[in-house]
Amino acid sequence: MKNWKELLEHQIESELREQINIFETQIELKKLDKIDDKIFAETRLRKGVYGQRYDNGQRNDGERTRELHFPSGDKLKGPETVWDAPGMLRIKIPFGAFTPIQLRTLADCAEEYADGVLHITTRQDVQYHFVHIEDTPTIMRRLGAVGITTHEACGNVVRNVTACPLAGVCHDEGFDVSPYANALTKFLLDHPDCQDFGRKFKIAFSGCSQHACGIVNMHDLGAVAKTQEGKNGFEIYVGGGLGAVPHQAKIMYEFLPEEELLPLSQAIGRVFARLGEKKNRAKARVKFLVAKLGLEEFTRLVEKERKVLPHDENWTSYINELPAWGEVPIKEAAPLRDNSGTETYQHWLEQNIIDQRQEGYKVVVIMLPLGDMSSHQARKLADIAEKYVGENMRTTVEQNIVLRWVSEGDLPHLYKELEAIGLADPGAGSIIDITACPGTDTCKLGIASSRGLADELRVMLTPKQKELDQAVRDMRIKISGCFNSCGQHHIADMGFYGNSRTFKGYKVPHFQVVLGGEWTNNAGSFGLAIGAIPSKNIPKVVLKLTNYYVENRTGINQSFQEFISSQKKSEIKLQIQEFTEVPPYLEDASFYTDWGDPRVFTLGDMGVGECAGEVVSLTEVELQSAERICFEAQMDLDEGNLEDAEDKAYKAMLRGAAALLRKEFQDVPADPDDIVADFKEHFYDTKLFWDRFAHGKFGKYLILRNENPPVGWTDSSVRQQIEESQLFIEAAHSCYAKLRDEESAKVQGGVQG
Amino acid sequence: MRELYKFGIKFYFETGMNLNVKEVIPEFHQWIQTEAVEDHLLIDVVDYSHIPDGPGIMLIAHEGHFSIDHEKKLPGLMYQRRTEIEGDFTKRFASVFSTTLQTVIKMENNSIEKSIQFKPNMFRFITNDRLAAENSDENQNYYKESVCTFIQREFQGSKLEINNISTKNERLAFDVKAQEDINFLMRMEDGKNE
Repeated sequence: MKNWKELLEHQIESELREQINIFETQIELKKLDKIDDKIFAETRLRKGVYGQRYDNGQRNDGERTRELHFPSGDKLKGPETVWDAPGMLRIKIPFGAFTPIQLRTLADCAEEYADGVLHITTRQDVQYHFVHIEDTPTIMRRLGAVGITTHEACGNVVRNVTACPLAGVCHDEGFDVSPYANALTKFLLDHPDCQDFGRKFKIAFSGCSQHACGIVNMHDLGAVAKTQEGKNGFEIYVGGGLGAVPHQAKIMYEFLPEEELLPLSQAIGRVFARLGEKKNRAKARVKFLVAKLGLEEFTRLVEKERKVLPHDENWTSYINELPAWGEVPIKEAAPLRDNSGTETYQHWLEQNIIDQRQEGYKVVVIMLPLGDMSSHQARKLADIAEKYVGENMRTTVEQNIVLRWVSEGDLPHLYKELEAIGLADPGAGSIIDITACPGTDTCKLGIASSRGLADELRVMLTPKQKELDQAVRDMRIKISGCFNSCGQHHIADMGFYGNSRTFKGYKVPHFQVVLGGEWTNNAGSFGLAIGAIPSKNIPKVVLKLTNYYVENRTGINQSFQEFISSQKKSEIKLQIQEFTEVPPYLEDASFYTDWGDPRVFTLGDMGVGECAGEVVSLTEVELQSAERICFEAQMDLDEGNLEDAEDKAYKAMLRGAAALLRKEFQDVPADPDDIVADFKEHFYDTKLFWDRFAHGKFGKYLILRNENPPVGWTDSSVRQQIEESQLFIEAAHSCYAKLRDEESAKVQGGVQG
Repeated sequence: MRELYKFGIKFYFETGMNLNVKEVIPEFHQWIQTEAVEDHLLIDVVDYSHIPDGPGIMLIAHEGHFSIDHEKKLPGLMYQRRTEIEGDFTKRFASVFSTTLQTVIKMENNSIEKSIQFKPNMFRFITNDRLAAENSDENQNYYKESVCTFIQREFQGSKLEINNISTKNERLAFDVKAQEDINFLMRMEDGKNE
């Protein structure tokens, strides 16, 4: 019997086929230990083959941390990444466009090699979880046979190029950006000038600047459609990004002619590869290079590079084909003759249907809870799509799917067919359409359960939806499992990111509340952290803050984002103060577990020493104090007191560092230089303060600030300083928890011994 | 077709059973803590209860996945084998059937104090490898015969019906139903199947 490789040999494009064959060989070589762990890790990442939570071969089962004894034993697929441990596979869907045939293959592979679920990501990708590395070449072949690649889905390369899911059908766009996104995807895929980056590189397209669309403001490179004297071109943005410290992109060109799009991107790639940071991952994104050089110098270097680029036919060859680009509806436009139907259908019509520019056609948004769809749903959706829209489907950065070119007259029948497979829930683009990264469910970096919280909020808010004020209903909630912003919490009305706090010796899952981010205007502004709240109290915080907004806004036209901007942060913090309290474990143990997970939050890390922890330590008090100072810095920033704000952000870090020193030494110096020196000696140089993944990044914030006091203050520089201070304090909490764990382990060891 | 090892067996919940599937999460966690499934490295629990037609709550193991599956709105406990088992198909089927029965009974005797009951005289056989078991008439016949032969040998006197055959786009699958006096679970509890 033939295998998939033999069967599909002639159905896969030759270059991709060769890449997959090479990857398969690399897997075999790694199994023989003939490739270094780090090199193999980067190799597989570039093929979209990621690690997953617990792939270091350890997991806390709620009672103890246990070794996962896989059949391949200690064999690794990367540093600290066990060969047999289940992993994640990321699949690129350029600008979100996919066909029914592709969807069926995605469904088949999800069943046969993963857990039967297709997860749509915030970059319009599809992800599988619980995949074995040795299955990945076969998955790649089966996907490759229908025109899908995982190549460069992860790693320090150009990631999936995203675009507005309404491109081509939107009323407000300059023109359809889809063919440009397509051309740039193909041009940069495996391009030699994009193989030596220090970090990933993200690109987005948008048809207009006023809506959320492609959220170009948070991208390394963003392009917004613009016409000038009848000619297509782009407003070009560079140096944006979320991550731990968000950066707004800067406008590099107000108008770049279309024929310059590809060569400019190549030139940016060359400058980034040559001058971008390589050693320190934490500073290696384009945003840091732009910040370091300044936009003017960055632009000068790119233009210089552009001038010496050898000419490439591919820069413009696609432009000749643009007139032929376009989607073809498979049904004729027909009016909706009967508007009657159930209440749910009416809500669906109201919330999930978007008018197309083309008369008689609609875009139908399929809201996927947590971005998930089963293989069964996917297969049936492929049949439905073929019947109503043909190949006109896209994923969205809000983890949904849109069907484009739906004839208006088909809406009642389409609704019924989607309803039958559980894909007709109303509420798209509303407060219940919550974005969440995988968080602690599957991500190695997750601190708290973003998906668990998202599900809880969705279940709580769905029945209340009709009672909610319209402005509240239209709000966006976005949740990340950690500070890394995969859930895009910075650009939501209400964002949350996971962290933890130690309370009387126990760890308690928390979420930092980030308010007032702007989703529209291509992610026009970022929210600010208000305070960390126990995870189990977040639903109450959502209700409290939405009520507070409705009761105190200046009028129904004042958006939540505008309202938050207009308020003193101290006043908002006061509203949620009551929810910061954590009840004692014996009074309410639920606070010590995360959503959807009955294991006591890192219970296995607690030891006999907990009884001694009934008294709140001075370190905990000081860490709280550091948080307060950091919050005061935000209030000063709000009021335009930039110098004070910056100073407080620094002092908050100093207080956090002093808190840790207090844990280890009776005498703590008062002089900032001495505090920093001691911190450096005892916590930074010893790597005690280091984060497992971010390494020394957070500690460096304090050291660098101490070495380089500011000589001037701008809103963005102070904002960044506050973000860094917040992250330093988070890291101080983690460090303290680590020290306590080590103490507990010693005590436990002593008792057992 | 004889290379098939990736397949699953699902026992349906008893009709009218009222269970919020999220309640099963602590039970699966407890299985991990107590290493409750023989010859399986139990890894993690995943909540997919928000997907109407999906795998519900999953217990991930290296050798195979267990799920409170909801396909076609017919909930039940499914075990899907992922790693190879030695021997011919009959031997492999016996192994997967045994693991499924073990976990179904374990779920009935759960520690979360929920009344969970399964239909004792029927199950679904689902292949999960379109290469080894393409959904063709020939393969359907082969697996129907293989599965029925095994069951009739192990449960003598059983008269089997085959229903609910999967459509071409789906994986090869079918329901196997015995008459009411046959109880696959009792047989397992007696230890006669081991």
